[in-house]
Amino acid sequence: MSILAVNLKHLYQRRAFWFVYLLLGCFLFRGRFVGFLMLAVVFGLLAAALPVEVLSRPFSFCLPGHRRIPRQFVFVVGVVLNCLGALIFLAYPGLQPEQTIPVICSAFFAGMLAYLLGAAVAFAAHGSTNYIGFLPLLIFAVQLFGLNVAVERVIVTSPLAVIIAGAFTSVVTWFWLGGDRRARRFCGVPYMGLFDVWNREKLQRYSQARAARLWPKLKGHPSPAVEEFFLRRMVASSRRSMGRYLWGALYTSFGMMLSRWPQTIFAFMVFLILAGYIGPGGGWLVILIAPAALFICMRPPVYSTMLISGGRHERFAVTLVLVAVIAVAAAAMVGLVAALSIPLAKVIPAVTLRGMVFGFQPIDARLLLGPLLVCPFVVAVQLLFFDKVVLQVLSFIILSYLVAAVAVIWRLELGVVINPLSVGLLLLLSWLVFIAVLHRVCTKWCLVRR
Amino acid sequence: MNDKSPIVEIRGVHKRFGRTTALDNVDLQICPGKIIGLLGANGAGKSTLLRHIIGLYLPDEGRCITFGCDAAKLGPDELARIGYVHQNGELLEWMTVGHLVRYVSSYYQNWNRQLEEKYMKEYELASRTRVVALSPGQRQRLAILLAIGFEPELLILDEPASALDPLARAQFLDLLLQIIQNENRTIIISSHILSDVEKVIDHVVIMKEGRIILESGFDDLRERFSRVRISALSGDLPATLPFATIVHCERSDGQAVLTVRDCPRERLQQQARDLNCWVEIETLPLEEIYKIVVSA
Repeated sequence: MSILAVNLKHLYQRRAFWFVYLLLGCFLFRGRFVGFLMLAVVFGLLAAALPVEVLSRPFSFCLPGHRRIPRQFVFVVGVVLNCLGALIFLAYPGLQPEQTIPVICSAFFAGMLAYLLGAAVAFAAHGSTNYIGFLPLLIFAVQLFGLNVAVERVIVTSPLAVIIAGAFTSVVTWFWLGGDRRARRFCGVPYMGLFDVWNREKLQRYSQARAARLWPKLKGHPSPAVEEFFLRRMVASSRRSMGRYLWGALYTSFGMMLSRWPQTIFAFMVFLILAGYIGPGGGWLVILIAPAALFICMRPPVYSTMLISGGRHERFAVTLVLVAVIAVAAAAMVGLVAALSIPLAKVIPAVTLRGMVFGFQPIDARLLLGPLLVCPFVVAVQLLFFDKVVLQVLSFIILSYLVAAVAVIWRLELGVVINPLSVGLLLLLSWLVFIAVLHRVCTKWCLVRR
Repeated sequence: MNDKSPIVEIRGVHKRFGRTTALDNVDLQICPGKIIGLLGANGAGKSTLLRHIIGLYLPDEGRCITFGCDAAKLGPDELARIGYVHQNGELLEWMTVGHLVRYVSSYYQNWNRQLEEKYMKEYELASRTRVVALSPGQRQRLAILLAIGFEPELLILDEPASALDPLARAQFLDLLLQIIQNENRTIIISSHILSDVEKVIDHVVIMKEGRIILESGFDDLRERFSRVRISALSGDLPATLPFATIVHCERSDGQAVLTVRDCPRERLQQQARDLNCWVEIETLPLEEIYKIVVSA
C-alpha cells in the first residue's frame, strides 16, 4: 500500500470524521449553491491538518517519503471533493447547455480556491483547527454582505476569470507545499490536530508550550503588591486553620487577573458592550456562558498532586468556598453590568449595518442569578468528568441548550415560569448537587486520575 | 524493620483500576530513619503505593496509616511533615520560580531559607524564570527543592531523577546523602536508575505486578547474592558444582563464573577449597540482584 493510501485511510478510519461528514453534509444542503465553497474551506482546513499532525511527530521526518505526502494528500482530497461539489451547479437555475461545462469548471476552481485557503490556514497557523470556531461568524458575514449572491454570480458569469485564478493558485500552492522545508518546520513541534481537544494530556502539553512563548511578555506579573497581599494573609492564618489553604487557592485562581487589572477592566467593558448589543435574549447566553468558560480554564484544587492543596477535608472546604466566591463575584459582575447598562443605553448609539439596527439595550438585573445557578453545575461536571473532556463538552452543550430554552421562554414572556420560588428551588438543587458531588469526590475518589 | 514504631503502615491493601489490579494484598511497614528503595518495572504499582501513603489514592480493601493517621484523613499537621516529589512534577506553571518558592514556603512554618538559597544557587534556578519555561530537568530540581525546603520527616520521591542529567543526578545524590544525616528522616525513593539508588538506600522493597516480592535490608540482600569466579588449581572443574542455589553459570576451560544466592561467603570459600579450586567472590550490584529477583 502506498504512503498516500495509508494517509488517505485516516479519512474513514477516524470515527470522529464520520460525525464531521454528517455535520458538513447537513450544512451543505442548508446552504445555497455557494454553500459548497464554505464546505471546501472547512474541508481544506481539516484535510491539511491531518498530514500536518503526522509531520509534527518527530519520527515521521525519518520515514521514507513522508515529508512530501502533505502536498499529494491535500491535492488528491481537494480535486475529488471539488469535482463532486462542482456538480451541484448542474442544478443551477437558468443555466444554458453551452454554459454547463465552463460553469462546472469555474465552480471546480472556485472550490479549489476556497479549499486551498482552508489548507493554507492549517499550514500557516498552529492549532489551526480552532479556527473552525469562526465558521458561524463567516457565515454571518457572508449572509450580511450578500457575498453568497455575488460569488455565485461571478462563478456563472465570469467562468474564465475564476478558472485562471483557481489554476494559478493551485500551481503556486503545489510548489509552496513541495520540498522538505515544511516537514522540517513542523517536526517535533507541538501541534493540535483535529479532535486533539479531547486529549487532555496533549492539550496540556500544547498549552504549556504555547504559554512558554507568551509568558515572557508578562514580566512583573503577578505584581509584588498582589503577591504580598495574598501571602501576608496566608501567613497570618493559623497553620491549622483553613484560611491558609483558602487564601492560597484564591491567590492561584485570581492572582494574575488582579495583577493585570487594566486588561481585566478592558475585558469587562467589552463584555458589557457585547451583552448590551446582543440584547435580553442573547445576553442570557453571554452572561451564563462566561462563568462556564471561566471554569473550563480553571483547575479545581481537588485533583492535585501538590500537597500544599491540603488533605481531603481541606480540598473539600477550599473548593466549596472558592466556587462560592467565584459564583458571587460573577453574579456581582453581572449585577454591575446590568446597573451600568441603564445609563449607557441612553448614551451608546445604535449601529446600523446593511439595514439591520443593533441597539444597546439595558440588561435585566435578574440575570445575576445566572452565575449562581450555573457555577456549581459547571464545577460538578468538571469534577465528575475531570479526565473525560468529551463528556465535559457534551454536558456544556446540554447546558447551552437549556439556557437557550430559558432565553426563548423569557422572550415569549412566560416569565411566570421563572418566579422566585422556581429560581430558589433551582439554586438550592444546583448547590446541593454540587456539594454532594464534591463531597463524594473528596472522600471516596482517587485525587490523581490515571 | 520493626526496631522503632512505624511511621507508615500498609495493611492488606488492594487497589484495582477497572480490570487492572494495581496493588494486590500489599503489607509494608516503614520505620523512621530508613532510606527505602522502592523498585519495580513500569506498572508494578510503585507510584500507586506511594500515592496511597499520602492519601491521594484510597484502597479498595485494607488500610494505609501514615503518622498514626488514616491516610485518607491526613490533615495539615501530618502533611506538613511529608515532602513529595511527583514523577510528572505538577507545578503552578504561570508563576515564576521565585513566586512559586515564596508561595509554597508560606504553607510551612519551618521553611529553611538558607537551604532554599543554597539549592537555588546549586541547581541554577533563576528566580525570575517562569515555571512553564523550565526544562524537564529544571522542573524536577525545583520540585525537589520545594519538597525538601521545609525539611520533612518523611520524604517521598517518585522517580525524582528521571529527567536529570548525570551532573544534576550526582548533585541530587549528594543532597540525599546530606538529608539522610538526620537520623529521624525517612525517605522512600522509587527509581529505575538503580546504580544511583544503591548509593543511598538501606532497605529495598521490590514490587512486581502489584505485589511486594522482596523486602529486605540492603546489606542483607547483598550478602545473599554473590558472583563467584572459580578456577581449578589442577585439572578441570567437576561437572556438578556443589554450591547452594546457582542462579547463573558460565563455564570455560577449567573456569566458571557463577551467580549464587543464599550461600554465605565462608561456606563458598570452604567448598572451593574442598574442590581444590581458587575462588574470588564479588558482591553483586543492585541492578543484577534486581534482575534475578524479578525474573525468578
